[in-house]
Amino acid sequence: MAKPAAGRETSPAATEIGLGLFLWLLAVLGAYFLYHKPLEASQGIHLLRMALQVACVLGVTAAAGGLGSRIAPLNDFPPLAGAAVQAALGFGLLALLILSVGAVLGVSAWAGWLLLLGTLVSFRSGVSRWLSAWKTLPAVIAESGRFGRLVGVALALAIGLSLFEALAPPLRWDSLNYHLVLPLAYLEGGRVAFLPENIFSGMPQGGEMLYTWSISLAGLETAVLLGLVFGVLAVVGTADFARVRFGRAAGWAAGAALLGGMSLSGGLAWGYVDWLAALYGLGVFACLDEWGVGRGRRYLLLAGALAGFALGAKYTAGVAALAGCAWILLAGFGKSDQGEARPNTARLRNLVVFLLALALTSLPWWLKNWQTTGNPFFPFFIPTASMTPLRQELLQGQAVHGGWENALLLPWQASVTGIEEVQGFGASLGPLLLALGMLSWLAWSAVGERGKRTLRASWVFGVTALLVWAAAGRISGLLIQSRLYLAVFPVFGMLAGAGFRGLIGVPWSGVRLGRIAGVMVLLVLGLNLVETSAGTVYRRVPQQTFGLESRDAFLVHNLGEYARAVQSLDALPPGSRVRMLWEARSLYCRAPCEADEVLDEWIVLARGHQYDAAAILGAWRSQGFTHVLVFSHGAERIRAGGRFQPQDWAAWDDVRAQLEPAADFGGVYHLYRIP
Amino acid sequence: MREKRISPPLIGLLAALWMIGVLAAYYWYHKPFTPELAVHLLGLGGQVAVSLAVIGLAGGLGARLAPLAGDPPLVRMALQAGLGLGLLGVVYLVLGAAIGTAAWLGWLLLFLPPILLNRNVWGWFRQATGLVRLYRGGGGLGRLLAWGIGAVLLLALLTALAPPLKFDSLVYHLGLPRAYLAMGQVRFVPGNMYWGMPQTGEMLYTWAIALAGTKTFAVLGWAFGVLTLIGLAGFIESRISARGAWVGCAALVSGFSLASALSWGYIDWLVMLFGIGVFVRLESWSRGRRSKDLVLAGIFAGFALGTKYTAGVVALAGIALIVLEGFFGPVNAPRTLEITDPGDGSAPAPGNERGRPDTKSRFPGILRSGIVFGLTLTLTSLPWWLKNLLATGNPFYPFVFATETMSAFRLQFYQGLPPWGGWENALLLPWQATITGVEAAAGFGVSAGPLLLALGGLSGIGWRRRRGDQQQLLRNAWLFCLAGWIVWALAGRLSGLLIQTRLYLGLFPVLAILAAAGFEALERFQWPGVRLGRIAAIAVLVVFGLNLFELTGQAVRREVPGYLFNQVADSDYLAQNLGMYALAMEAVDGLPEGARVKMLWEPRGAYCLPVCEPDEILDAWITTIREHGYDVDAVQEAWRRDSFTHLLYYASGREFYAQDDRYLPQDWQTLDDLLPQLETVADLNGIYLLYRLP
Repeated sequence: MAKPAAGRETSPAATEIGLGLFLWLLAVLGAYFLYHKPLEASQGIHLLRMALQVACVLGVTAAAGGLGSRIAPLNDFPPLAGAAVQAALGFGLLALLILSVGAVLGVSAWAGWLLLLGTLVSFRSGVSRWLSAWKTLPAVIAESGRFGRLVGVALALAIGLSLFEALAPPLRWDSLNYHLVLPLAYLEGGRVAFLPENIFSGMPQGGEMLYTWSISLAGLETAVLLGLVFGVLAVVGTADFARVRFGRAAGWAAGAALLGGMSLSGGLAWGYVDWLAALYGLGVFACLDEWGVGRGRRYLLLAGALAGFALGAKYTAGVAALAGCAWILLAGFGKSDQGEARPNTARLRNLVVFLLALALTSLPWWLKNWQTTGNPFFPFFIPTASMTPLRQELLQGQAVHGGWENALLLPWQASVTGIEEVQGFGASLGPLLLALGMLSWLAWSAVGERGKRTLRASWVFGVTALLVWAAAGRISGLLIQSRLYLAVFPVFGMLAGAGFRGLIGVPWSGVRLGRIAGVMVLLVLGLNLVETSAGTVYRRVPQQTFGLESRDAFLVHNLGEYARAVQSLDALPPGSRVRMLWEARSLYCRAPCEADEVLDEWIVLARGHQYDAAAILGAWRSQGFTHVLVFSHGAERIRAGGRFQPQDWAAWDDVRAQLEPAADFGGVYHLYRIP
Repeated sequence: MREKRISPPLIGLLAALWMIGVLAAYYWYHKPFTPELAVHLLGLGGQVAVSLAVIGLAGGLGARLAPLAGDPPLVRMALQAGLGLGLLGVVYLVLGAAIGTAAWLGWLLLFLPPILLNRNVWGWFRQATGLVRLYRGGGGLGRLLAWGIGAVLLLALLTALAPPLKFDSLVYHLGLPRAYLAMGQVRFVPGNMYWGMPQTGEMLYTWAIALAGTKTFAVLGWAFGVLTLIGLAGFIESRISARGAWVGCAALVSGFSLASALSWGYIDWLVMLFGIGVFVRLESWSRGRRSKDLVLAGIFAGFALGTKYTAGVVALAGIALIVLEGFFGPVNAPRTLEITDPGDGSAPAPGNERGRPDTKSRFPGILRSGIVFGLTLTLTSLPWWLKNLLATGNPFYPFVFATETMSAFRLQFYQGLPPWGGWENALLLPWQATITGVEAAAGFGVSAGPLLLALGGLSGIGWRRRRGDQQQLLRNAWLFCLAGWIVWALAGRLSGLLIQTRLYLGLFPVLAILAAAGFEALERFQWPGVRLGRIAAIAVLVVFGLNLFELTGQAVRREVPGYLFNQVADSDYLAQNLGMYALAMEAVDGLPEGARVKMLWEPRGAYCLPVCEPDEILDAWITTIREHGYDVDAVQEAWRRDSFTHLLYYASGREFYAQDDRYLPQDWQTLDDLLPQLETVADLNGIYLLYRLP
């Protein structure tokens, strides 16, 4: 290759010539783009908006990371796993701060910006330390072999796809039902408050608080982007933890296992809180793993706090806490580093410390419910004014899904028969968590003493979580869903990583089992990428990203008549208020509307008014409703399923006959005027 | 822990069975794609594989014929493939005319030679490892641009895999191959005067389509572009720098038209491949005065001319270079200027002083060189002139002489377009073509990107500090481009058609070399307190990024992703992008067996051949009506005599020509008299009307 013969050009007239050259460049580029507009003004604005959203989410994450870094240096952790856990800690604390400040002083855009800038400035040294931890990422990639790099590219593509999905208007059910509806309602009302019309406002809302904050900064999609960040942190943290404990290939395999299923990789961009729970779950496990090797009680406290944050993000994320309790108790059965048996009192004391920290960080959510409804566990267990016994029965009384094989063979059943959006497990988890995780025992002889301890902790965590999941699945058909237990999936990911590490070391008559496993991992990632890409294209996300299609058109394409129906509401006269029936999603309502959030509105109303049509209409009128939007197809499906009694439906027929038709959306939705 | 209770091989076997079992059970429940999607994706993969096989065969053939041992691997790769492609184009012409265009012949041609050339083919592919070194040597900017260029190429490949849409493809680049395949033979197509154009590209396209279907031709066209960029990058790396190589390539594909054209199934990138072949060999000749270089340069120039008439500009530029270099170049074949092993990263030999011109003593040498170049050029382009001579009696068909199918009136109609714009388009050609040239607009008609001009215009900076060999390279590049500029400017004053930038793309790789040199000069220039190189790098990245954004937006707008995932059918894709034209083609497709359609003001016939006869230069009506003295009945009778049963009338096309002063009022009046006499079969929003002839 030829090299320049001389150094830099210098001459007495360098400034003038340099200026001339600069102006020439400027002139050609300026003139060119005067004739060739690379993008429309609206596209430019759209792109700038997306860039702002990404910047805001990065800012929020850095603020959380900085706060976490200040509180817990986590020097004993693998660098990226440490950064992920620090961010989790920061997110948890900031969520509680937003809850208290939002409830007392209010929430607004300026308050959001103040919180962002205030946190970044106040914890600037922590932010800088936290950011510098990410500098190890290029080195980690550089030291990876070909397998690692290929997996890295596949994971980057999966995350990239999710980024574009996240930048488009959210579409998923639970987001349109409450994860994003509640934050918008808080911002609209200017305060975090109990919303009696949406029972989900009684769920712990660690994620929704953070979503409220991010939406206040740069709009709705910012929340979904933040959800993506939760997932990326959980995956990177898990992979780094597995890398350091079990070897570099194990790290990549752990990451691949976590994003090898359509529901898990797709779920990054849904605006749900499951990945936040997973991030907290990673923190609980990592801290208890460190505590287990005698690093001191502060890790126990941190683990408890993170378990509390997990519980404060989602009730079922309590599985991480239960698994943590099991490990604390079982770890105590072994001998200490000095070879002495640990006394029972010490075990109990440790458990109490863990639970105390957990209680402290989850307490605000119980207090909030207790204060607003009188039931700390609202909407469950104890009836309240807005959650009558009938409603509780309808919500909790789902029949158990499947037989005992779902409990006894849970990992197989959840992985193999669980399919996204299909009743039961309801998630496509990918085959790697099962295929590799079950072989984690092979890693026992391949890893060092530290790795063995982590492996032992992973097994205890994993088995406990499976037991809890299996038992819960026998209580209610709703509780069998895989998504509810994502908090422990980082541990399953680590076990998969360990399994991969074990396979590398198995001698098999000249066959390189590790290589076969590597091909399988890449095949699974590749197939998942094809599937998720096809979904992204089908949803017309690229058109939305490039600003080629309006937001309304995007929603109509993906949500069909529902989108048309809610978009039509902006034509209603001022003062209108819409009651929705058999439609739980209210996010895109263009008029004040109240969703049928658990699809029990009609039954509760009809039975509450003894099927008296006039009384039902009067009740709606007295609540200020002027219109009823009915998901007719949904109602027909439920009716055909024979779920309710005939008189429930007869009463509906009576009431519908008295309503004045206002609009028909392809026979799927009907809008009625209340006379 | 007790170990080794189970024997390790058994563990291995069980573990493998477990994993296979889980994956199989999982995918039994979770089908990642439908069988239709799998078949669709396999079909697309097959098209890519066949295109790569054609390129591999061409590369192997080129490697056997011209080892080019002194060239850097990437340059060698591009030039050998170019040589092979040119030869295979001629071979297919001969085979197609003599034996036919059946698929079996195509497969035979694809698989038989590689058996003989096995080592050459694999050796040729192995040269691509040079890209790794180029990537590593490019620094941060180079690597960023490498990823960006990769993205442009990927985007173009994906677009090429979708049904072709661009005008010229539907008129003749694809239209002629489909006609040959329908006829089963390469022979004269009287209904399409573009048949007379040289057809190296179309021959290769016919072959590719015979092997793996219609869309393969655009993938092959894409591969021509990839080869050009590889050759260009390798050449700039060896003569300027690796960083410059990426900038040069980026400059070339930072224009919307050039980057987009990678997927069009045109032949311009093939011309550019031959163009870089001409320049590289002449540049080598200027340093070593080896006749072999002149011969190869002549062959490449002949291939260029055998691909596109206007690619003759590289031949003219080559002659200018031979003459001027002959007069003013180094004395007595100064081999000291030769870059002996530019591919290994070592510094090349320094340049020497140039000799004083001695016109008289140099003239015979120049003449000899010119004859060698001209003779090889003529020989390699001869098959195309012969083809025309045999079929029409006019070797330059459809130009210059009138023939049976190209009457004097048609010649005048086609060639008589007045010059576009004023003299400023000739005098300030580089500026005007770059700044005012806009894709699909009248005039230059190409968005070439600003970097070739912005950076190429600065290639003279820091002249005195350049090595001798670099000075000579730049001098040759300037001469080459200057000659091209003059030809382009003069041609543009002859006809409005000849101002189009696309016709001279053979010169553009050399402009990219100048852009790379300009960038490198900016990087070395010291402006106290300002890092001009960094500013230039940002400018390159911004321009490139904007173009990538525009290209991606276009692919998304066209529904390319939906097509690739089998969510958009061929017909929907065409309807989305071609509008009523696609529906008109469907209407023609729905006509009964034996129907034959005459088209008016619609030259795109690729989707209805051989049922239709397109109006390829939009003169069908004016020619017919004047020939028959404005007699409507005679016109109908003539059409019936030619076996036409239907007429597809493009009303909007007619509107476009309404103000054209070549048409007389009675031309339009006669049409208005005729149409009501015909029975309407389909009316597509008044844009296209399909009539049955009585």
